[in-house]
Amino acid sequence: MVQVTELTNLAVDLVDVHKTYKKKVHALRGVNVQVRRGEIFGLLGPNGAGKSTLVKIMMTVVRPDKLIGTILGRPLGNRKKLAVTGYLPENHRFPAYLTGAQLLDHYGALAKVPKAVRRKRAAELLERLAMSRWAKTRVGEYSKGMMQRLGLAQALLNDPELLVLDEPTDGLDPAGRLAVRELLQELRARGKTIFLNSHLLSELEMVCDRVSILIGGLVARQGTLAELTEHTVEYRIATAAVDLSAVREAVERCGAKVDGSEVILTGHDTAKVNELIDLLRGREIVIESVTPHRFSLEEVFMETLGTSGQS
Amino acid sequence: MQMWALIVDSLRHTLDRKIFWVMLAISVVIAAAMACIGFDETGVTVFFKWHFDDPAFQVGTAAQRSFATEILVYWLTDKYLGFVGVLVALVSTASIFPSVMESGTVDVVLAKPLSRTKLFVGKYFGCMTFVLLQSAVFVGLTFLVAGWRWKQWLWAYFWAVPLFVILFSYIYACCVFFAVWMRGSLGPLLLSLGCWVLFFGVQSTNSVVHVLPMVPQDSALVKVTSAARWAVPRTQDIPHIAARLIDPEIADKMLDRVSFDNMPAKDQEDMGRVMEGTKTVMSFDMAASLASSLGIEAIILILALGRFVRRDF
Repeated sequence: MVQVTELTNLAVDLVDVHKTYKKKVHALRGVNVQVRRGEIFGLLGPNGAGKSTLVKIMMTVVRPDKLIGTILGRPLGNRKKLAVTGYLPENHRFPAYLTGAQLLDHYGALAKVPKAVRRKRAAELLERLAMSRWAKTRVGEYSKGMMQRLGLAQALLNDPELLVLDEPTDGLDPAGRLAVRELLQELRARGKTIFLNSHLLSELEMVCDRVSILIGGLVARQGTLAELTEHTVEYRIATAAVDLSAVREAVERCGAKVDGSEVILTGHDTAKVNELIDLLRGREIVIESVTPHRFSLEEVFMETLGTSGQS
Repeated sequence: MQMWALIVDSLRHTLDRKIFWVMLAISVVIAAAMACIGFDETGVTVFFKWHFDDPAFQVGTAAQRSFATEILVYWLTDKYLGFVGVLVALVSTASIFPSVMESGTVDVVLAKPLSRTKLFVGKYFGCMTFVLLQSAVFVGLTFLVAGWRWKQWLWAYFWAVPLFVILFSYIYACCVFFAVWMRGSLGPLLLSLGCWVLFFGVQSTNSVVHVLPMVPQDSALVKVTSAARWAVPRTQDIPHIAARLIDPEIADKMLDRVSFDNMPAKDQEDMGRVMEGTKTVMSFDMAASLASSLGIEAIILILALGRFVRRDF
């Protein structure tokens, strides 16, 4: 049974997750989340949507009222799987009395990483995250960006199969954000699974394979970026005509609409685009450009938020 | 590996606090003050310079030995370690559990392959290790000075170390119990000090009703206070246990030494009964006292652990 679940392609498989705080705040109301192995998965949602609660449940910090599911093929909280999971919480606080190197050694020991291995990996990670020269400085003297990089290093110290990151670029400058994105892509290339919780939609869009939009304790939408934006693709046919009222009726019969000197077709139907071009050319209207426009994740998110009445 | 990491982390946390170094400095000052007085075969030397020939205070005399043991047992073990030491150790360690449970800190630790029980136990024993070290340094230092300057190599004095740790653990268990229910370290610290006062009050009440001449020893009041004495950690027994283990004669001597000769006959009679009552109270069974107190401490810790394991962070 265990072997079968471990062989499934899902790194995270959470079904019907419920959590209520103090018997009145319904943080999660039956959330279903599936994350495939080797992908970067993004969790989006407005404040109070239950994102942090879901992440904390995954990491055993918060106990769910109800949950069916697995992490890396084993029930939540399985120690062997926690040993191969890395976690960077939002607004993490590290003991100010430790140096960066001591902190990594301490958390490495808690993650059951053998001493020699954790020393080697700590040095590598500090180098990779440009923190080597601060290794012997006490954490209390670190800037927010340095704390964030140290947090990433501790999450990666056990060479995790699953990496759960809550706002990983918080406090980082643009160069730092780019470095983190590159690191995540590199980890994905090495077959690692990454679960990202972030408010920065544009950043998620740049790295995520699939996303889930959590609203009011429920998953409103989930899928690949292409799937989520599929119905939100539009083609804009710009013409040289001043007035398109003569063709408006014909254009609308094709399912498109006229907007000034442009014809706008929503959807993926390229045959209809060609049909519209033929229609316009048949009326000797000069076409200046045809531009496909895919909605951004932010636009999809805002649209979902609007649909759910939470905007 | 995990338990060791937790204990080392707790030690680092406590050693980082200035109060530890202040206490270490005070320990050195006390040891230096002790070293200012020296005994030899002819008498006393003060400040390594002024020598006074005094047969009563030659090394090995009853007075000299009594002086040494009274300083070590009554002042250093009972008063300093038993009160100042516990207070300072509580202040030093009160923030350990609240800081572990701080949002942002606890998240990282609980995401490791570490059970909550192990985390709790590791942190608790980390604090105990710190207190053990702190008291061992103090006792070791004062033991060496007593041996060097007073020629009293009182090996039994080292009983003060585990007894001090046990005494501290009674109060710290309360501090941990409150810490798992509250945020911050001040509340648990004050409440645990309140518990200490409560334990003191319960035991003192029992002692008082035992020695009051107007209270019959078979009265309900005596029975109730005696039962209550067993229902709390017996903090007041620790100095007596220390005295018995370090120098079995000193506890009796301390009581016998009290003189009522200048009192009127009626008062002398009353005070005699008071002393008899006090001796009765102090003639407790050491093993039973420690076992019942540690049992109560274990119950407090199990309740705290239950909350720690179940709660959300």
